Amino acid sequence: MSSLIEVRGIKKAFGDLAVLRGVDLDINKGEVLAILGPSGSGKTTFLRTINFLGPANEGTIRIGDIQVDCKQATKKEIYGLRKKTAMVFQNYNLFKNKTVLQNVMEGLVLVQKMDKKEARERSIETLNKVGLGERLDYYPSQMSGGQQQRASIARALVLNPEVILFDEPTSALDPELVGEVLQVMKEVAETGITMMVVTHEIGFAHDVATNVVFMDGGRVVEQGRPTDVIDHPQNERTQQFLGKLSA
Amino acid sequence: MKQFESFINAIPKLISVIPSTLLLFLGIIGVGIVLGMLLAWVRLKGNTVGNVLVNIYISFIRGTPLLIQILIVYFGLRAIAVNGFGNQNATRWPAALFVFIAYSLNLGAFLCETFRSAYTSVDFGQVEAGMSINMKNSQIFWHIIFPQAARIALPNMSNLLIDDYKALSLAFSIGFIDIMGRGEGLAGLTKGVGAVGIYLAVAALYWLVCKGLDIVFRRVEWGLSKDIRVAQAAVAHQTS
Repeated sequence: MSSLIEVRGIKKAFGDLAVLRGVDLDINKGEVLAILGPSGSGKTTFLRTINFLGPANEGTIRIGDIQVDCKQATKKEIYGLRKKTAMVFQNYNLFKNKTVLQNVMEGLVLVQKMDKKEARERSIETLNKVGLGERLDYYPSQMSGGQQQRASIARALVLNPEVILFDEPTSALDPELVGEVLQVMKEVAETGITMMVVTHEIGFAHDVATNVVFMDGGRVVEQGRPTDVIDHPQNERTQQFLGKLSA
Repeated sequence: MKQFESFINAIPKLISVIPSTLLLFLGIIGVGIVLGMLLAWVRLKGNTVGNVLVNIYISFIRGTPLLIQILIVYFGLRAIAVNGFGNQNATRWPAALFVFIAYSLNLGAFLCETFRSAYTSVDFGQVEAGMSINMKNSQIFWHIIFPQAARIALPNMSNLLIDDYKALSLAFSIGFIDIMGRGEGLAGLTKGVGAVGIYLAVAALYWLVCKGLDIVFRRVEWGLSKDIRVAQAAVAHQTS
């Protein structure tokens, strides 16, 4: 069976600093992949190469039927990749001048050219799913971080992408608000949508993810099922990292 | 009593020039804003050469008195038209035309910096969010950045525009008649008697027009800042 996402030889440097030194990954449809690793290991940088927000210098990315060589990606190819993906950011990045409902509708109306009425219905439906059905006309500035992040999950979800990329979705949140976001992510995962999640939430990775990769020094150093990687890490760096977390 | 009488008498005569100057001023605002946006765009996205040229232009406009700029445009353009293109009619072109050009060029340079700083103050994360859902650059600009940047730019812009309206009084030097010009004319006719009353009337009318402009700008700002208002109301509610 061929995988949904196939990443080969991704390399990226900021000036002289090599951040990604050749990342290979295969992700199957419906998989929830947690990407773990210490700060500076390249997790976020890697995730941002997938939708070309931070293009890689080298390597290939295939999502479904779209294959892109990072060295010579065309606008059309990047557009194609982004069409199959959506992203949830660490700082939510909601459009501040738009209400929650408008934030979610924006992609449907402007990008997918969906009829406004239908876009509205779909958006409300999605916002209900993330528990924000009562907050449609709120502006981001009126909401808690947890609510904003749930809205941004709705903004990604409504586009019905092949894969949703989560970039440390709970790292900017109050400890009290982390739970509500993880709960929504868990519910999203249960719908069978493919997810790539850069996170420090080991509990989430353990309980919700179907696969875990551990990155260090710009490479994937260990991968497998969460019960294997997290409970019985083989790699020395993984052992150190997880040991610190549980200590 | 004499001053009061000349004050009253001057008012209708001074008011008569306001509609045409306001119309001209609207044109200056329009061209100034477009020019300011173009210049800001070059400064933000342009190459080195474009940046250097825009910087020189802005430093010239900001570093020289407006009066000099008016005179350069007035005599410069006429000389070019007459000597360069053999257009003898140029000497009869209305002063308003030169005022329009000089003030638009001036306003554009000042607005450029206002717009540029407003643009950079909208956080880039929202641009990335737009990119991630495949919005076009133009959509990201007009739907997300522009509304927020406009609100940030507006108070500064209002200041510049109000200053600019008052600065139309300088255009008297090339024969353009605004409130000031008309007032000077009236004061000249009275041979100095009642001049204070006339100048007070001039001041009062400038003040009225500027107050009117201020009200308009505030109304626009209010309309653009609904999201900010609700947020402030929420904070006020929590802290009360």
